[in-house]
Amino acid sequence: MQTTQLSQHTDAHLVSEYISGDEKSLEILIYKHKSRIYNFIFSKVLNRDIAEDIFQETFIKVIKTLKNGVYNEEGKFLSWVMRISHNLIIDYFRKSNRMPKFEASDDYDVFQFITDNSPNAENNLIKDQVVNDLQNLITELPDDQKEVLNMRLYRDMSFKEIAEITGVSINTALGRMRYAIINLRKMIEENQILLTH
Amino acid sequence: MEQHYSKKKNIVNGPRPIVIRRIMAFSKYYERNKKLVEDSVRNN
Repeated sequence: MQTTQLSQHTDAHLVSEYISGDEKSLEILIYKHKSRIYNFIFSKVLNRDIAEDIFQETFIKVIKTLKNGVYNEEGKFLSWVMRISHNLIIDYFRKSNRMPKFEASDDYDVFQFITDNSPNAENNLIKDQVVNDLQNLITELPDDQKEVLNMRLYRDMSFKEIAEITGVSINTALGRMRYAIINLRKMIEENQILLTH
Repeated sequence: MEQHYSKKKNIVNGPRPIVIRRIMAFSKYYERNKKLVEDSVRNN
């Protein structure tokens, strides 16, 4: 795919051409954004085959929405596609019932960083209790705050990425994070929970 | 002196071309397949 062809048209124009029946416009859109979307998915699932499946599933949803005439032209095309892939990543982790993990490769072996500090059983129990308490508190937060907090703490996403995926401004995402922390502190005080070990 | 440079990482810039070809094929035949499914539902 030629770069001139990629930069010639805006996303909105390409979407409109595709809806009118020009299949090539979809191909241009995919080539234009494939790296960003794929790398985002891969950074979360850390597996090439799964990342490709989610990438494919994302565009199948895009095609169905566009061809059925239910696409809402309010936001940016890329943000919309990123939101779809984000939801599919969440679905994937829900289905497989596990969180992202590191896998050893020739370049990187996670076990070289693990040291055996031999924590005793008591410390492990306290640590598990702290993690459980914190997770229970997070579930009590309003959905928009919970979403930002999970993306930031557990998925290590930047506020720019969070803003793009949730379709709000960076300031709103920051505000939601701030209120999430304030509310968590309030709940910790109210319930007299001890979060140290 | 021997130098130990880190190995170059394989940067993946997107899915394999076959994935994009599959998406394009889905798009190309979507309308036709949708019509076939609708017709078969109507006939049953």
